Amino acid sequence: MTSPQPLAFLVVDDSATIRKMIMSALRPLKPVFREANSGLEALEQMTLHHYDAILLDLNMPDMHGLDFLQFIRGHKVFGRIPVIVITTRTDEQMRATVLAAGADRYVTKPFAPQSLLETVTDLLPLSES
Amino acid sequence: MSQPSSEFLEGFLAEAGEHLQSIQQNLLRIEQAIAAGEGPSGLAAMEEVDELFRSFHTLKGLSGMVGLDQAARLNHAMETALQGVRRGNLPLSAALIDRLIAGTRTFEAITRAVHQPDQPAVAVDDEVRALEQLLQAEPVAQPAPFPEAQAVQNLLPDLAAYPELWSALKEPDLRKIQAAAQAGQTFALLVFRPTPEKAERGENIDGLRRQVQAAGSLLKAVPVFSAGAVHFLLLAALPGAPDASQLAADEIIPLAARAAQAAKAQPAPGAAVVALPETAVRVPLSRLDELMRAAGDLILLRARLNRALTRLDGAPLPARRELQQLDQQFARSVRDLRRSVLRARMVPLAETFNRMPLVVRDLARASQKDVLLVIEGESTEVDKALVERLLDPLIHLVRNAITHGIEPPAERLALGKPAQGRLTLRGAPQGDHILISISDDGRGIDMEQVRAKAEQLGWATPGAAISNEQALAWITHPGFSTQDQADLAAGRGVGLDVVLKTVRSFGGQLSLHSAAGQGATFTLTLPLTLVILDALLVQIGAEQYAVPQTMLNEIVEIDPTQIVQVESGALLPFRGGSLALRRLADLVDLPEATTPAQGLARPLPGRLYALISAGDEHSALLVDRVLNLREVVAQPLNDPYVAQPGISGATELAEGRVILILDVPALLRQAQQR
Repeated sequence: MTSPQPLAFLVVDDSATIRKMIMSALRPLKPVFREANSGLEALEQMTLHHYDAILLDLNMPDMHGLDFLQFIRGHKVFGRIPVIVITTRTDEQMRATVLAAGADRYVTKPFAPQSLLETVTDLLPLSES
Repeated sequence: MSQPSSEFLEGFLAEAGEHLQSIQQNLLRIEQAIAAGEGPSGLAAMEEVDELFRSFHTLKGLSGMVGLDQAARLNHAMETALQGVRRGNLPLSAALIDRLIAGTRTFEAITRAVHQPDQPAVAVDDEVRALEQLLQAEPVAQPAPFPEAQAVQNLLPDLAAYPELWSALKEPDLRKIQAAAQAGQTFALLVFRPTPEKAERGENIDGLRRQVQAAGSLLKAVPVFSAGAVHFLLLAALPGAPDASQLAADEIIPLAARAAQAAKAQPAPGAAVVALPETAVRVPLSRLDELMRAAGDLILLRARLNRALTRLDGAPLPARRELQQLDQQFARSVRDLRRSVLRARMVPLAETFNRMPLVVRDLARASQKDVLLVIEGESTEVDKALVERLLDPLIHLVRNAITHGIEPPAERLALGKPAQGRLTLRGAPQGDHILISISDDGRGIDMEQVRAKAEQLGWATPGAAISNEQALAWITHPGFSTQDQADLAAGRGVGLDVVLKTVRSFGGQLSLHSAAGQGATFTLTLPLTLVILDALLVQIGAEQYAVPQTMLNEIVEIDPTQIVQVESGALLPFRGGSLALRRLADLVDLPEATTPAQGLARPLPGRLYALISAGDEHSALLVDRVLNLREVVAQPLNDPYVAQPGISGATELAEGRVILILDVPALLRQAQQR
């Protein structure tokens, strides 16, 4: 039996420290991580590699996370990759907008590592099948 | 309130530090623009506003993540204020900038307090309330009319051919385009198609984005989906024609700009921006320390190898030769490694210098003086550990220059000087050292006042001439500073003893050059590194010591019969003057058995060596033998219980011996006081 491919996660946030925190929280899943510090870089990454999930910040330079989300949901070539938005925006309006744009989960900062891990793990069985 | 989680704290502090630098530069640039009379629409369109907004937003999130809730609250208030400016609800006024500078300073205090949990928590309520009040104030005058999209379309007609870019442009972007056009910039569209091959070469969208920012400014970047693939369009404003060699784009399309108005004078730029090279990695200083230790071990190993080789003198020649060649190659590699590790620790002085504009601004305001800060040589590199410890001494010296050195504008005009005083902060490498100087064009040190005070304290004989060195020695003595705040000229003593102590603690020197009425220059001479030194091994009797080469001016072989014994000690006639001699044996209190203790009247071994101290050419230490010059890895002795003035550390020699590293100037000073 061949060993399963490790999960590949794309962590998108313009703060290196926050990216580290997200990666640290998800380490128990033993994934391969790639990082991007803007929506543009994240898109570039998506054209080069396959990902099992995207952890996405909203407020980033040059391309807002929401624009990135609308872009990848708007083009079938990217497939229906699970997207978990992680943001400091706590308002209900943004949450609704983001979920309507196609995000699968909406997590607010500060987040508890265990809670983020559970949120991501819940989403994944869909892609493993 | 939760405790900051320590695991990510260092990362938080490093990122916060970078954002703080950027925030301070942006705030000062906006302040200058306000002073230069830029209108509201010009100000709100400034890139600095966007950057500030993003910085505060990021800091808010980061603070929350490490449990610094008050800091998050403060940053949220500042972010909200900037949001108001971007939307046109809140005018960018000097009052708002003042509040933001104060808020930033409070946040900085919070970051510094992170490592001091027993201190009372920094309060943010006042700052937050003040910012909220500003937001609630009556919206002043009409927000500037936003340029119609039509106006920009007239300006850059070619843009219409790129609907993805055009439709992505929002109000702030349109204003930025107008501002760039008014400044006489040229526009270009860059196309970038990501591919695996390019990614492997390190060519990516992030790199191109940075190149554009370095060359000019990036107005907008959008992805375009066509033919089943994604490519990127970047709209750039550049000071001149695009330089294809500096921009890794697949296509560069210049855009014709119609009849841009006359370029406006740019406000004077603040201190140089510190930008990390594109492929930079942030490394904890502790990891660099480990590397240094490993390099130090290699140096030791190589020295041991060298010694083992000398024991092979009896072995056949070919074998020895091969080993000697290997040893030399090893030595070269180790030297290269050492140099690389040292360079990895080096950071530009700009890290410290860039904090000064804000300090100068505050001090000038508080003392009601007009001061221009000129910074030179900020790209000079210095050890990271040093750059952090330099901040306090530099702030002290800058404070003295502004509060005591530079005269108030009216006084300057009466003296025929320009009303604006000039403070120059300069860094330059000099061989094994770094020179940092703080120069002002103010009153200079009033030597008469200094002499009078010294005479009063009984340190100077009346009528004696005083040199710059003597004046410096007096004004940096803790007992010198005057109580009388009105005594401005001699008041330079405030804080200087601390400056001197700090500078000396990392093996540096302080010197002064002053001309009455013209100004004063304080110069710090610092070693390039604190850890690996070239040291002279000397011997007294059976004991060996290491003396850092940077502390010595010269080594002279002397004839003991020339020494003249006088009341205050021993003197040697030397080059037309005299050298005050001290025996190292006396200064380090060696037991009687190893060297004669009865002064120098007793007969001495045939030859002696005098080590002339750096910084004081008339003092020298006597030793029996000078062994050799070698690289040593210094283990500093910082523990206050163990540390002795005059001993700066210890090092392990190849033979396994541990010897002490001496601080020669400190020893000589100590001796003079006995």
